[in-house]
Amino acid sequence: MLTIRELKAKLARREVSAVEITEQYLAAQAASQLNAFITSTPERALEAARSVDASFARGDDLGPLAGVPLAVKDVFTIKGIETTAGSKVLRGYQPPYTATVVERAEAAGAIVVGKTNCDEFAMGSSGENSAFGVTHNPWDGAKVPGGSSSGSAAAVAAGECVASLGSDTGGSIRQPAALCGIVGLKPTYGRVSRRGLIAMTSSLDCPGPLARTVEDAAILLQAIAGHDERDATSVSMPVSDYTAELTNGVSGLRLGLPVEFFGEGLDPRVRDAVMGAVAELEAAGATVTEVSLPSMKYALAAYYVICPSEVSANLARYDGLRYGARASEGANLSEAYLRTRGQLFGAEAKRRIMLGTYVLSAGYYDAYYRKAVQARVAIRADFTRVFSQVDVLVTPTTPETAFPLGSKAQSPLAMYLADVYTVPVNIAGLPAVSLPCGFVGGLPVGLQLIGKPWDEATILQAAYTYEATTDWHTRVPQGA
Amino acid sequence: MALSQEDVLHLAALARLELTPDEVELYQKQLGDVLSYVAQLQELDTRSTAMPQAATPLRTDKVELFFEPGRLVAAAPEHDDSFVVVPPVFGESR
Repeated sequence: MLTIRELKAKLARREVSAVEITEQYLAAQAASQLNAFITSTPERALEAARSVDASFARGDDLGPLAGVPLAVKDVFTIKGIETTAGSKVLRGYQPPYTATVVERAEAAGAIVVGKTNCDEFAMGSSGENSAFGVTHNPWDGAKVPGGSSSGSAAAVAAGECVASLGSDTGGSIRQPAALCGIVGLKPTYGRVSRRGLIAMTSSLDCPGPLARTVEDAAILLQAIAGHDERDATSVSMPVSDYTAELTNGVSGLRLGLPVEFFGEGLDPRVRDAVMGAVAELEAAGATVTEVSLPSMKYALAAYYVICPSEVSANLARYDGLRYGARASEGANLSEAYLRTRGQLFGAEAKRRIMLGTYVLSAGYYDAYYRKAVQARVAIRADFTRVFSQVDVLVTPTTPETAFPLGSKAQSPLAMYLADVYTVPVNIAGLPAVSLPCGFVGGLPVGLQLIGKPWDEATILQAAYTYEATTDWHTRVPQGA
Repeated sequence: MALSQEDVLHLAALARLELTPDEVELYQKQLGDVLSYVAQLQELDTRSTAMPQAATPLRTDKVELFFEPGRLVAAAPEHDDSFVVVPPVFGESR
């Protein structure tokens, strides 16, 4: 399984062509039992690969992602290619435009090999809410790969692509990256354009990279980051050179361990793996301090008010009239809405729509929504205070390793609790990366590094430094 | 925070979701569980917390034509050459 660096070296030495690499990855996708993809894009991929080969033959400079097979979560639009958001309600939908992140990745030479499976409208932590079947964890087919970027994570881990694009609203890049043993990065909110990302929670959604190594994630982030005037929430902060700064090391870096992330509910074996990583970072010159984020205990509750509220608004457009699918004919408009939305939305989508409708309704708005927004202010203030004492927070990404398929399906609340360590980062708008730090019972463990706003460079440096002391990223699932 | 069946049916109607009786019963329980969980937000003292102000920058109002209106119509589940076909606004329920 190639990294971007290895792939580009092979191309440069003419050991292999972009078309040959693309064919290999398309074949791996076709042979897979993981159900990581909803739509395969072989024509687009081979045309792009031929273009890279022709460019190279002419002696043109190759882009940073030239020849790199890239999978794209099916919540990102690609013009003319079916984009479903993992939902029946968008079955058959062919968008009229391509998402900015895909445009930028393709402009850098990436080869889009397919649209990956995901929880419906990016709502879920296991991949089990997809209308297109579950995705399996490459390390153990009976376990979940995590969600909502389930296919994007599984595909990278299983070698069905070199890197992928996902979206992270409550942990949906980091958690599946952790459960699948790969690197996943959630940028600062506003760092990467949301244009073309089918909206779920507009104030929290973040597109981001998933890859086998920290360097690969940095390269992909570099290609997609930056202001986009077509996304009003995209911010005009200068983009660092993420790859040049990777090797800076961690001498003098101040790490914080927030006690709230190491308490009850954390599997002790996961904790041991994380503390092992902390020891490596200390050995490399970082200092470690215990810190506290008291308002963090309200993060999940705030999230499950704010997220459904915005979901109820963002999913109101799915009326069966203008795009996607329509349910069996209603006699009038009202019936058409009721039937389309009732029949074509999955259970989680309906639950969150109704929750949002409830907490935003007159009489409940102050008690729930206003309170949640205020909690968000308090949580952000806690992080700001802690970041005046430390540079990077180190935590487990998830409380446990990949759980069995079906084990949390009956209890939405149990599923929500899987995100307890990732959600606070979204509520505070911060960047964070998950990378492998060990295995427990043959299943990967994820280490989460949380950074200051706009400081993706520092968390990538710390991640890179730790990664260099281990070989977790070279391990490959059996039968993948 | 317990929801009644009427509450669930009311929410479903507001959100234009037609639910089966089994769904109503299931969601009643599941939504009640989530609302009980998020109720802990009440413990937070937010008396001195200001609501955040949005700071979205504005751009110039410049007209750009979208040059492929046909694609938009073609995306509809039912359409003719230029129009999206929809059920009648007023029609007898079956």
